[in-house]
Amino acid sequence: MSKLGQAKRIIFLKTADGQLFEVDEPVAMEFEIVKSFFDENEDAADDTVVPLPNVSAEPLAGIIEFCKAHVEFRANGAAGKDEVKKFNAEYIKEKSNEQLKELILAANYLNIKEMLDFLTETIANRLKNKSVEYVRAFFGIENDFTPQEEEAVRKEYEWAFEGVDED
Amino acid sequence: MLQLARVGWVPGTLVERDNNRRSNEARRVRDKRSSSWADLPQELLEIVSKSLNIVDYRNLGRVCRSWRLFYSEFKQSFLTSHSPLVVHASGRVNKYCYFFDVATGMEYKRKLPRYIWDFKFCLGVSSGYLILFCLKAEDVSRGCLWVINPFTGHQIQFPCMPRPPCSCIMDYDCDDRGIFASQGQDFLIMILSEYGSSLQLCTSRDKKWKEYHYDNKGWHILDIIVFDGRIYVLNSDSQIGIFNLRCCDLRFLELKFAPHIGLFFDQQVRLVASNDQLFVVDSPELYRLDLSRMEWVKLYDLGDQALFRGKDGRVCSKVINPSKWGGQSNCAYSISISKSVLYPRQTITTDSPEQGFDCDKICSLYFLHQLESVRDD
Repeated sequence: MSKLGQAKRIIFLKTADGQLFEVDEPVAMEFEIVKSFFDENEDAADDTVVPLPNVSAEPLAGIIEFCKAHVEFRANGAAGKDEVKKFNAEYIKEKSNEQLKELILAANYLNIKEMLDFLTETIANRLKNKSVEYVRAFFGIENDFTPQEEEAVRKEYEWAFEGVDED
Repeated sequence: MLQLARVGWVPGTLVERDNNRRSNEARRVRDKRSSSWADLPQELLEIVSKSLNIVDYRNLGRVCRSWRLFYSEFKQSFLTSHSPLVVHASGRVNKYCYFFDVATGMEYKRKLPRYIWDFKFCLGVSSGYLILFCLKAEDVSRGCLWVINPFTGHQIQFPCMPRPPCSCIMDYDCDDRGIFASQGQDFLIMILSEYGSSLQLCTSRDKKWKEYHYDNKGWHILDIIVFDGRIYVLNSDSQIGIFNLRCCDLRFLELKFAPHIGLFFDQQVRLVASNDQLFVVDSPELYRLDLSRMEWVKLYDLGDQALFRGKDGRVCSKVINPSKWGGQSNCAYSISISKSVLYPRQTITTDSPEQGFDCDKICSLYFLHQLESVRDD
């Protein structure tokens, strides 16, 4: 019994690896980059495919899932409530470090403020009160300082602050 | 290793092989770039760092080269977007120096180098440096001044002062004040000693103290401050002067509408600066020195700024915009329980977190800002 006259507009997005996504308009408009594409091309045909050369299919699927949920939360007036927090926590729990990084890069490129805020906060929480060794191990970052640089850094930090967790 | 082995048996000319290897290497570098957290764009690190405190932020700079680059480049903007800290160290248990974040209530402690423990007196905090006077008996550095940045560990020693700060010799607080600033490649320290009626100054280049006496002038100096690359002086006749470092002399400015200041407690009258303005606080009054129109302007409103002040000379005061870290504007923050409320502004009192502390040694506001600098003229 759908109202034919108000059929939902679908936005077509094409990823770097050539996959075509069909996204509901309100969800796609969460992406600032897509929104400005249509703002600038007002007469764009309904079946216009928006190319996203910096995003591949996997993170885009994850982003659509997140934005879709948040668009619904807002529509239901649930924004800021426990339900949202619970969703966010679940969402991030099942993501690997690698996926998280792909998501944050993609969310940054697509310019999705709400999601970016959430993801950067997640990263910040993984840095808070952690030792340098823990951060390197957790994020898989190589210590690429030369011995001289290492020594200079060590000297600068000789007076290390205390109160860091022993992870 | 795998790469090299493969190149070894790939057929083709040497040039081709070489090209092959290069493109393999290029690909490897690309792959590495796209897969490493180390290469997170700076704009993202910047957003991430907004929710970090100073300790976590410093740790960022130790992880890898690219994060270190970010750390150095964004340090200034990070520091200015954070609330002032209250710094204090006990006179007795002087192994640590404590910092207390006004906005978050977080406390950090910092271990001080062993030789600092024996310093008995802190003259104040200026430009993010603690100004310490060595009182250790039978020590070669007795009577010397040290300035030390508790965040970076940077320190400079100045020779023995001709007139040691009176509060070190006599057992009461008589309001000596010190300012520390950079001067080109060098550093300058200036101590206002009310008891000795003198300004004593020394640069890290000369390593010799110079003195400016005002005991026969009929007025005395209430405060000194670094503002806009110069040293400004306020005297008890409500005169504002600029100190000339080269001639070691004071030149007073002709300012209109100068009020009578310090009628009750002139020790409380202070010069306070914001980024681009100079103020005089004579609680409960507040004046702005309009140096383009050469006049004093009485203020009733601080707009989006707030005054951070303390009760005595060791407290470093400043007018800043607290909105960046969610502080309240148009009010006065005070470090201790103070009855003097700046009418009509509200006073927010920041209690020292450790009530039992012997704050005799250091207790001051600490601004995470860059070093003030003075011009060499």
